[in-house]
Amino acid sequence: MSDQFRCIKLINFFFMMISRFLARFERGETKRLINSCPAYKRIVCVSRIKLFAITFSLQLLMFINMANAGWNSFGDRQQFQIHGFVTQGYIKTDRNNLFGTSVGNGSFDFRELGIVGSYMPSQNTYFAVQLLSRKAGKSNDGDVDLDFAIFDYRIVDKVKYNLGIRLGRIKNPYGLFNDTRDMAFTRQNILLPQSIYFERTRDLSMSSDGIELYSQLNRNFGFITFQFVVSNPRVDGDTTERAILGRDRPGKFVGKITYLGRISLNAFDDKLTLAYSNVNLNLGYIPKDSEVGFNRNADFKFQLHIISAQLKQKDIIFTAEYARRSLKFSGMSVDYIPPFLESTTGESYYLQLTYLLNRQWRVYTRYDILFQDKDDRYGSNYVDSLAALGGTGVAYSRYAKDYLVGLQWNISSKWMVRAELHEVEGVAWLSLNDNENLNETKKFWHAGMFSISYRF
Amino acid sequence: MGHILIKLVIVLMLALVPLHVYSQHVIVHLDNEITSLSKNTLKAIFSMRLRSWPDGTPITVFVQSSDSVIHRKFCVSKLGVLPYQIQRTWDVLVFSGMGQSPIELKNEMEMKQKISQIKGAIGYVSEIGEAENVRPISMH
Repeated sequence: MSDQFRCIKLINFFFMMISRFLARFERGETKRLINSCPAYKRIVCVSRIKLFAITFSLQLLMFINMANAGWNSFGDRQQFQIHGFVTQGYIKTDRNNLFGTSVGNGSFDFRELGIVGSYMPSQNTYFAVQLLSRKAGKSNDGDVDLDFAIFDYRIVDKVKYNLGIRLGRIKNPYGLFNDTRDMAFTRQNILLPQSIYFERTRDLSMSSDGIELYSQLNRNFGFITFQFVVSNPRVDGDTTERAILGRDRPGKFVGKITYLGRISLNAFDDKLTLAYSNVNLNLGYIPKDSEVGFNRNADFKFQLHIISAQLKQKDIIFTAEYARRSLKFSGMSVDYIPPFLESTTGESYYLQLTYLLNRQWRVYTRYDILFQDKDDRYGSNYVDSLAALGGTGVAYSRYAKDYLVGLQWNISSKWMVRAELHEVEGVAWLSLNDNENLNETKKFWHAGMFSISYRF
Repeated sequence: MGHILIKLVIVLMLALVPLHVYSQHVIVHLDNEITSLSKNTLKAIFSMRLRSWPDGTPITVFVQSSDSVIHRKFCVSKLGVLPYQIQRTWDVLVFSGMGQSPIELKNEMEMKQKISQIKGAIGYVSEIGEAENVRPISMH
């Protein structure tokens, strides 16, 4: 019984923490801002109700389960599980802003909070819901967000292979880290390699609404996993517009049918992981009447290929990923997307080496590089082409190189601390929310980061 | 003579290293029809990829605390991975919505007790002793 009460207590604790956090968020200047605008007020109110409803229903579910005969003495099986994580970061930069006003005294505006409840009524059905709150400078406000809500049906469940489908809001399976990108314990760094897991288009990257088919083949050397998703991407109005069109525009993006797939191999007792992922994201743009120069079927196609590899030896982990992205616009106004940017292909990769000093301590280093346009790596054509059109741009907004060294301390299996130093050249992945005008950013900059994480 | 003595002492010391203290026995409920498991199947079970026994009974996986010695030994010798690796496997499963994690128990007594109550349960202990409704399973 005590375990169930512990779960309920934990839910309450999380609810309290989120509420407190929201209350803090609504104080002072922000409160005035919220009160001044009915739309803001409504958003705050709705998110509070949503949060309350979700927490309440989780608790109700637990109580029903406790009352249920099958759940006495923690049941025949434990069918219901709650897990969660919290990370609080501190970031200080010398020139450009990262996660809030990090220049100067530094910023505590980096917080990740997640809670997942799952229910497995039988061996082939499974439900899971994850709520996420992310505070990251001006990009993410810490609002509670429905990260995934999944119904999973396992059609075949054999030792040699399995096959199943998932429905609902599904995590986008790509690369080695996207599925759990906000959970610090599953990452290797405070900041994921931004060349591949950049945050500008976060909502599009995280999860999407649709259907997934999955299968795993189990062999003596290891296992192979196939995942294929057909879905509708999550579009977050102005953030999506800012990321794709440079700023908040009058019209809006709408999601179109999107395909994602990943095949991965995990072999030799987890010593080798190889994966290939492919994303085909499609968006349509619906302009307002005031916007001219648009074709009726204005759209944006994004294609991503990622090759991933990880090698684990006794005390060394080597990780590398290579990504190629192609961006294609059609029917867009030339004011938004100049012709020379209508079709570009970007390229990214990183290499990371982690050394396990002992069970508790590890050190790591990473070299991470992003080119927005592989045919114009350092942005010289970009500057010239913009200038020819009467615009201005900086070449270093078209690429970024990030060198990092870090230290990780696993205090226990539940607590972890990390510290990192970054030396960056270029601002290609820097948030447009924290740095309104990329032309005013600095080419060379440094960041020091510290984070503490807890899980249960 | 001296050399032989030294060798003898070394051999004796090695023989006295209490290896048996942390032997790990995989145990299941008495009614489980399976008599032996391959390493590969054991890995599929403990990494939570397999959800049911061949007869359709749901598998319930129990583990001991991630910080415990027995858990570490079990991971290394039976699953061929370090605890941090299997932990990440479970984290990815849980936080990407692909599955549940094993249930962590406090000690061996609780492990035996839980497994004796649930037909599809599996876990590990360092010593079987006199446990009711629980039996060890061999590896092949």
